[in-house]
Amino acid sequence: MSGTGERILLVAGILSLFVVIAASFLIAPDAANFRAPLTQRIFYYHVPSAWVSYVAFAVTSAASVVTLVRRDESRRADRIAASSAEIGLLFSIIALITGLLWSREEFSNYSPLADAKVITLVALIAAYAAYLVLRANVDDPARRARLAAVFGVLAFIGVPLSYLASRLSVHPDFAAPDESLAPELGILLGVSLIGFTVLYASLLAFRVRIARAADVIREEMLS
Amino acid sequence: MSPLAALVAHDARIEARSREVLVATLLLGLLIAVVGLLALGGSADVGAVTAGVLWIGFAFIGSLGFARAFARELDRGTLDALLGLPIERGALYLARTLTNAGLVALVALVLAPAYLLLAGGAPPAVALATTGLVLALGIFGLAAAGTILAAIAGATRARDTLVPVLLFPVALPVLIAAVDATRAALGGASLGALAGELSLMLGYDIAVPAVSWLLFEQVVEG
Repeated sequence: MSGTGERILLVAGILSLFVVIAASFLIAPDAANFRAPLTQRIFYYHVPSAWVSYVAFAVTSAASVVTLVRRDESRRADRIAASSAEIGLLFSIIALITGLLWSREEFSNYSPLADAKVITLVALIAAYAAYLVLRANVDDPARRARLAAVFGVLAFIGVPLSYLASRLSVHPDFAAPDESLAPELGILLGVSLIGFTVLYASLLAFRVRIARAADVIREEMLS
Repeated sequence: MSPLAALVAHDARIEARSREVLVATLLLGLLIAVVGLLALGGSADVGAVTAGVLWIGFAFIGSLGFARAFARELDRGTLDALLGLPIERGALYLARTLTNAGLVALVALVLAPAYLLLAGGAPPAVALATTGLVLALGIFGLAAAGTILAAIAGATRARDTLVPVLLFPVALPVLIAAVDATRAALGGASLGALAGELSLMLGYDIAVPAVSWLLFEQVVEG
């Protein structure tokens, strides 16, 4: 992607974030069926952050598969996998924190470990962290790409199954909320989802470019 | 003798001679069981406490034992020799998985009865049979993930210390399902009541070894 394309993406992402911030605090009415209508506004940040952390994980896993199948010498897929993991780690931590903040206000007797979504986010954060720690501990770029890709594929089995396993075994003792939003709030949430996705795409494009530049510099220095 | 059987026999013979990993993991397991008993022994729900103590033990034993077993092959050059053999790389992985699972199962055979006796009172035979099935499925899943992750960790600078870091996100589903099913089984739950957990573990026990069989070559080469 050319530099212009990345800049357009970034500007679009930031603009949509401004719209979301303004609309979520100034325009959006209270969500009537929630116990804590004010705190519910964190939805416009929490839901898209969780969404981006899942998308980033899917991208990392898919790029890992490409690395393994093609035995990619150019390491393009490996750069995408690593960059997406860094961004995903950030958004999954945001999603976990905002989710816990909201649930403390919304539920009276909330216990995070009885919530399958919390366990899944913890598994996701652990997977991202382990992936990045693994990369940091291998010096040879080709071997790093290969080992990280194998782990990326295995983590793609672990994280979704963690969700299924915790759905089977945890028995929430808090009342499940009515999480349905009024249509106009749904539209705002949709705008926020698109904005966060565009922001993710632009961050990924920039991060991949930096990684490529770093690879070029390293090869120049070696030769 | 098939290559797989020969490899398993080879791994088992080395372990039987040195008992390096077995003794260490067994003592670690007993330590965890005793501390668990001291801390939680008075608790009413024996099944829940036993499930917790056993799986904390297996997770620790797995992280340490799998890493140790692989490091031994690296240090002695066994792995290079094995890679020189005209056999599937996947067979090397599967053999190591089977011996790793056998090792944890051996510890489980000592630890689970010992813990249940210490905690006071053995559950009925049916509950024990169900628990045995749950433990077998869970331990195989843990070993399947732990074996390839130990191989990955062995190829890094950090070596053994990386195993628990890598194991957590990959083995989490099998640990969640196994802890829950062990507790329920000790409490007398029927197989039908555990169908969800059992099928999840069974799926995991097929998916992880299948993927690892395919990818093991890329871990050990170069």
